[in-house]
Amino acid sequence: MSRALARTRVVEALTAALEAEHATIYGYGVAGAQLSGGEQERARAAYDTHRARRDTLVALLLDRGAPAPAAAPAYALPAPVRDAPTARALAARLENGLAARYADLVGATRNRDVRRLAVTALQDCAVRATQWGADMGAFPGLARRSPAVTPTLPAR
Amino acid sequence: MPTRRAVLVAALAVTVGGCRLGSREAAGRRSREDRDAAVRARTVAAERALLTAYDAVLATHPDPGGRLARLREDHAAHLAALGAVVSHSPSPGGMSAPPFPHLLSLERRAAADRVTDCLAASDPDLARLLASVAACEAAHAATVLAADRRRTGA
Repeated sequence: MSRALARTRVVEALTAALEAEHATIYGYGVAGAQLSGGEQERARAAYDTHRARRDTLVALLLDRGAPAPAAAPAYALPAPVRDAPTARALAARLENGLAARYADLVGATRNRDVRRLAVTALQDCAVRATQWGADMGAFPGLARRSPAVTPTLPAR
Repeated sequence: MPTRRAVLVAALAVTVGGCRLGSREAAGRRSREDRDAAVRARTVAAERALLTAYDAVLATHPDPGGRLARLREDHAAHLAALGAVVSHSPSPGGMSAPPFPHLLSLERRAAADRVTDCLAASDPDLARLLASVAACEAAHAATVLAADRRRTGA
């Protein structure tokens, strides 16, 4: 593979992961409001983790001279979130969608640091999705392909 | 003007240099293939060990809801994806260690080892597969831990 093509693939995968992190951060804001006690704390911890990872992805894109897309003002949720079960389902779905982006990033890069970020993020998504009640199956990140939530309006 | 001899010598040098470069590339490819084969072999061995451990636990302990059996099936699926033959462990043997801490430590170690292997893998598809297996095992560890906590009321 040519160096330029390899760079394009990494930038595309980093961008897709960043967009999914933006959506996930938005989603945790919605889900967290419907949760309480230990679950709300778990949602808060996830929110912080995803924000930190978003910042890392932005830095990696800027390092490569690529634009880092901003978050959309709002995202369409796959289903209404009005209580704890629907909030858990959203969180599980977000983590699941993100897992696919990180699996793609693993395959798109030979850079050890980027690949380490991607594989540990994939593990983290699988653990969180499981804790929210999802059955991740034998191959987290490799099965489901569609994004969990989509922007209602494009980012500025 | 370069002499005929100089041109010939230069052409020869380019050819030899090209061959050397070619053989270096081939050697690099071989070494990547060897490394991937080692990574696959290590993963297959770890997955077989996990299957054996689950079979031993399932043979001697109740599994309400079939939770552990489902985790076992994930490891069988990993072996199948790696092109390895899946067989039921013939003799689970006595399970002396308490099952949950034992499975938890096996899953945790497997999750960490697959990260190492994913970083070493050259083939992108193999790297993706190993990353997914690593994630599955991290999730298994969380599941086993939660089941153990429920069981002990911790």
